[in-house]
Amino acid sequence: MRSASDPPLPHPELLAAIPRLRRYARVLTGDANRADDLVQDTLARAWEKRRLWAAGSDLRAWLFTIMHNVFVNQRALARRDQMQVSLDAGGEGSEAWQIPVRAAQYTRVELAELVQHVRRLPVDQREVLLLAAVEELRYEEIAVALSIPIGTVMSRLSRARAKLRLAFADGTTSPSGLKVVK
Amino acid sequence: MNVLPVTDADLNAYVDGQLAESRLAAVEEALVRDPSLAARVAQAKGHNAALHDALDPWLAESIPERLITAATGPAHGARRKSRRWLAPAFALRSCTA
Repeated sequence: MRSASDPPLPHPELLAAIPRLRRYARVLTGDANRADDLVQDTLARAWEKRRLWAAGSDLRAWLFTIMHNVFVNQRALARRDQMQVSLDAGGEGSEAWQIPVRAAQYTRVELAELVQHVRRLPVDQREVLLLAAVEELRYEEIAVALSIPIGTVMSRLSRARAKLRLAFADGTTSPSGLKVVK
Repeated sequence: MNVLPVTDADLNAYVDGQLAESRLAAVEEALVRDPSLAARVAQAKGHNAALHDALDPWLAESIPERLITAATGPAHGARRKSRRWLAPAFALRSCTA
């Protein structure tokens, strides 16, 4: 229930969080448009639930929590509706995966390959890896965001990294920049 | 001195810069002792850095108007087609805003 007395969310911080929410959503959904839909729904939900945000606490971590819940709910709805618009598969050529190149040490192809491997991770492992490696949330924050025990955060992270290790263990597909340093 | 063996969780925390200081010496010693562990850690760190290289440029993209609007407040945030989060009061408020 919203009431007029609900305090507003800090607008500048909310705006500042959007680029990271979009980045995370894009790898999560694998589609730039769907990612922005997810961000928009997350922001709407945040306003709706703003009573639950403890002022002064980390707004960004809270937004990731909301995004996770919205994403999980939408996946469940999609399944229930038998739409089977797979949120994981397909969209190989979609605009989300035009990987921009910033650093010189990796080629576009190498980075794209790594991102593809991350995309193929089961969604629960993908979430944990992205939140830890890219969004740099504390493990405790990830546990809260995903409503899982911290032990589960650690085991999903281990499984995700084991899969990436395996993916790059085959020398023929290992991009030079991503090789194990001997 | 009894030192707990280095676990997978320790290695992940080391990679992500979240290792408790009390575990740092044990992990670093294990990395020196076991090159395969060191290689694993180096690879995982490389993946973290590469993911940043791949995904950070997205942060500089301009934000679509609809998201700026959604960040502005409850009367603006709802997606047209999204019926899921719309309480009736919410919809009414949107109409009369």
